[in-house]
Amino acid sequence: MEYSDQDLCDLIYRSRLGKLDANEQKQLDAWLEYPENRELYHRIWNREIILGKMMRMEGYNRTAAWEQVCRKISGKRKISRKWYVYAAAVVLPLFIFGVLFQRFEATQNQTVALQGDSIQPGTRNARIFLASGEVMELKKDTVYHTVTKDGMEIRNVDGFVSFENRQTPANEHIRYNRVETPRGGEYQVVLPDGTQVWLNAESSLRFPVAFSGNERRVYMTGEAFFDVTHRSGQPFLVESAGTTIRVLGTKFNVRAYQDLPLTTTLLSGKVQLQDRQQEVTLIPGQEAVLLSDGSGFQVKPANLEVTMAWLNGVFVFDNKPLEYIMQEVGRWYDVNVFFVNNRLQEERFSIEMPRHESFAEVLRLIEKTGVIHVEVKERTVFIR
Amino acid sequence: MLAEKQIIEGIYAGNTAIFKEIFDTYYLPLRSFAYRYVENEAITDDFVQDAFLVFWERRLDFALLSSIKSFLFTTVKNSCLNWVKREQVKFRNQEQLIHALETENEESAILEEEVHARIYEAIRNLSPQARDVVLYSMEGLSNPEIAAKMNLSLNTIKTVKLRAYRILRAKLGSLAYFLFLFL
Repeated sequence: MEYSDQDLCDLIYRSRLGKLDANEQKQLDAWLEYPENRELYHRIWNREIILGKMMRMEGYNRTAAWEQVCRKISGKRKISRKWYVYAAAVVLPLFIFGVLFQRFEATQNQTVALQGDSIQPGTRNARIFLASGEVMELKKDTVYHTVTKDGMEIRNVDGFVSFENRQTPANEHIRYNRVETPRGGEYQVVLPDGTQVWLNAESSLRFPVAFSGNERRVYMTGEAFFDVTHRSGQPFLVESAGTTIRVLGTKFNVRAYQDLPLTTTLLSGKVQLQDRQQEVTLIPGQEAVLLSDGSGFQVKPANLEVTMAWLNGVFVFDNKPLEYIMQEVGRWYDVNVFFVNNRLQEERFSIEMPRHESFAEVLRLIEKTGVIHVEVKERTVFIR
Repeated sequence: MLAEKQIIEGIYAGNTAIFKEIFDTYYLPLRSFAYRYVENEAITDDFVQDAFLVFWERRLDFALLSSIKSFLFTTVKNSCLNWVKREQVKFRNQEQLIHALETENEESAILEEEVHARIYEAIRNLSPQARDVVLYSMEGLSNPEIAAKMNLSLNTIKTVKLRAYRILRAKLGSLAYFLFLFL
């Protein structure tokens, strides 16, 4: 008889730390008929061996290892390639000026790096506001599993929260749950229909307790990436900044921060955007920017690497004004940015770096240009 | 199977969230597996990280979840084998170790590491007291026996156990949970 390894691992685990139904017990018994399997089973459940392993595993730092892997994949290679190409254009003309400047600032720079060190990158954390009025704090390490009064099953494991309906609620009026990420937070949400939503920092998603009726309508602010489950006859609609995005099973990113024009970028499938006057349809690889002068949407090819960067755990800025870069960075590190020298807001940079770098590293990159002097006081960054 | 298809497609498309799930699922068992052959944590950490890096570079080559898993374990095992062979210092049991590495069927070792990693994931967030209760009870001790061993009342044991097992059932393995979401 054949078993997949995953099933076998699961059977063995649950035989002592959970429950097996009659059929599963039979499968396990059949496997245990072989003496070598029986021996393995007893070895696995030997208390001494387990305790020894637990102690060793306690010493393994999976988070640090993951960060190193990410750095090796996205960090080093890209920074060295692109950063210098673009940065050289800015740095070279100002090189002499920079050298002079750095001499003056050398001592201060050191204190800046130390101050910046205490500012940490964002983490997986969010808050849920349930239709019932309850509020829950979610963190990556919180293990949470509950069923609410109106039959919604909520699970939170490893920075993921999923909502599932256990019963079909009465149809009179729609009630909403809301997930919100703060500055310096991100989270992953699975809606009752299986649709997955990644929320970037300072974002929110409001969705009905149940998707009944002939549409699935949700509301969002900030930035989110949607991977929508296809349901024929029940289109998925995203409402944001006065625009309705109509979806038929697809992947797309919506950027709707208050300080920026609403931008919808399509990865695959098809979406239709509608504001008061206009309706446009995107094809994969395109993005629509809602123009601030009220003249509707501008459709253009998207730079997917840049749009998807946050999901891949990196910052990618391609020739962007410093003001834009600092707003973005500020949202993730939860710092405010103040330009003492307004002229610098328009200075353009290209940067690629992992999002989990310390803030000190961000400052170091920015200061490397020699044009900009940064000073950190508590959670405010002054740019001179 | 839909779930597996989604994972494979996600990997194919370069979705790092799914990559991280794979990493979180296999990192601990891989480390523990490597330690069987190379008793040096810094080196095994490197081997395991490198295996994930190579996997990510070659992610377009995998059509099955099980082939990802065996690729990771095989890669780590080969790194260990090369290391043992390369090491100039003669271990007393080097010949034996090389022989074992080259011939042994590692399936049962992998299974053992996987179950152990899962037990660890499940109980690491429990209080020390709850951990002890769970470890004793999975050894087959009855509640009165555990109470006697830990010098606690039977009622306390029952309460702690009930609460602990509720957490254990909610907490599936990381990837198992991920699969669960898609089912």
